[in-house]
Amino acid sequence: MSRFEIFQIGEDVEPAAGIPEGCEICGHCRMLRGTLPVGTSLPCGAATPHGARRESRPQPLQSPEQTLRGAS
Amino acid sequence: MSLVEMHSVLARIYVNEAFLESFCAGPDQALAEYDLTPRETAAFAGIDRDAIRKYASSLRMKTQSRFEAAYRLLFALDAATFQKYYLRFYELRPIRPYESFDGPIVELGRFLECSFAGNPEAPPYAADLARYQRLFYQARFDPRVGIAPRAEPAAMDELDGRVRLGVVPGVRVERFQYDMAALEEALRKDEKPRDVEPKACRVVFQSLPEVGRARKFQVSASTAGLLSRCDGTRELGEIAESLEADPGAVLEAAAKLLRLGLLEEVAAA
Repeated sequence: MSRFEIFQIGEDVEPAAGIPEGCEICGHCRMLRGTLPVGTSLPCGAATPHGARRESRPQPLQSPEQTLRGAS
Repeated sequence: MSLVEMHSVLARIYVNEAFLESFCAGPDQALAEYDLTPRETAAFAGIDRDAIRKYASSLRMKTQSRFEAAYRLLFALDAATFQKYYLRFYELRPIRPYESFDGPIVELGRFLECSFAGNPEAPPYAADLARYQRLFYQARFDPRVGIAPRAEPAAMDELDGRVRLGVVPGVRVERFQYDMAALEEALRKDEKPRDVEPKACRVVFQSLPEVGRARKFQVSASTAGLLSRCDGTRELGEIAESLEADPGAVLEAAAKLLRLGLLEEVAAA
């Protein structure tokens, strides 16, 4: 055996192919879908297929009644 | 109506299990520090406790899935122990909006390394396994600085003892106390390695140009020594001498490391 040994462990991690529908790599696609321009690279390496950029801004608070209805 | 106070209570209930249990045991005491009207307090007291427990749990599980994906070998080793420490981490460090997606995953790795080191509940190699997976995750998602798309190395055929080589940006060599390749292979086959003897090993983590892609290699001490000496200042011939190795074997090894994109030629100053 060579003194200068090297071998790959496991496989390369490939970027998710196709539609980012919550891929197993980062799980962010579902959250990002529809919020970024077409073709934007996602953290997992996939690209967004559709959607338009929109500003991320805090949503208006619900009324206490709506909040409690939602929670229960 | 104190909307902010109500939402603060709900957010805390969802992410803090101790507060959730305190709330379920007696809402009046849990809510005492919040500025709520009697009507709002009564509304909270009327919440279905089982439903709110289920909802909080579903939030935790949703978040956990991406941590499981990053540390799937640890999860395969012992899902219950992983879950236990993940929940401790979640309690101490809830996920926050507007933070990078990878920061908490790297933090969990460090938390697990500390939690498993010397912990009789986990196998002795568990801390190494957490570090191994964290470093691979970082290789996949750390910002790419100076990592160019791969091209066939021009100098490979005419490699000689005068060439100077350097390690490619995004490549790092780390030492472990256990044979990580053997552990990974066993865990991927759903085996749970027991009574594993320490065996020093060196792993090279290589970030590839595309975010999300990386490779890892197990290398011998000599290969790690060759990589560490390739800093662009010394010729390969000098490096072979310092390694007390056959120059032909060093050239062959260097050519392989060039082909794999772990080394690159450095122009002479």
